[in-house]
Amino acid sequence: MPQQLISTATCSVAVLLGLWFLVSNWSNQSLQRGLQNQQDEIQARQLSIQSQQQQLQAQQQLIDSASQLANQVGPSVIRDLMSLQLQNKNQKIATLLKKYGIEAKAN
Amino acid sequence: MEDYNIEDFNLKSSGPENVHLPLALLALAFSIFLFAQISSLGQNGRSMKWQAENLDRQIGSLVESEKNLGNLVKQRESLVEQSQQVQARYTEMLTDLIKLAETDADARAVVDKYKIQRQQNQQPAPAAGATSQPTP
Repeated sequence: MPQQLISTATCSVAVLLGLWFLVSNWSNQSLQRGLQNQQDEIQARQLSIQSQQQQLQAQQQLIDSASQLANQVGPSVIRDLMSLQLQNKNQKIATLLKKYGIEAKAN
Repeated sequence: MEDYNIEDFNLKSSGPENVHLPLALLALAFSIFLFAQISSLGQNGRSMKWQAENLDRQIGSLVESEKNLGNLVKQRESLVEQSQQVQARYTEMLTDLIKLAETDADARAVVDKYKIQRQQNQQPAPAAGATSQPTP
């Protein structure tokens, strides 16, 4: 009779542990799926950020290029054109400058 | 010499009561195996929860960066528009200057000085040397 009791008890413990094992396994699988989803989300957001950075870089290049044109090259070219127009009384250059609202006047 | 009764021994050892001991041992061994597996699963579970918390923090940081970049791109839109207008204006003027340079020596001199030339997309572009300030 005590032997029967012991075997029944150990078998019951084994069955309970088996159920616990199954539940733990399901829980871990669920966690694993959650991690995978988070990693997918991170990847998607990283791609989005990369795209925004490229957009920002393109904007910066455009701004730099326009700034260089407006502050350095453009004024220099206009100054030279104005100077040549005044020196040589070049009407073609005067017309060109006038088209863009620039009028050369001798100091 | 002692006299053993072999028949009695066989009857006792193969009786239904003696099945309980090996069964109990087997169940105990299986329980130990399961307990080890459950411990391992628990450890893995804790590790994955820690990873999930870290990934959550990372996602939060990325969301914040994404938002900041989006705002920056929007803030620059007006500046980009102005830059495009400036560039278009100068491009138009330099294109006219290049055309004029075909017939006018003074215009030709300016084009040569600044190495202004048409790019493949038909936009005139001053060369790198053109960034220097003109001599008075």
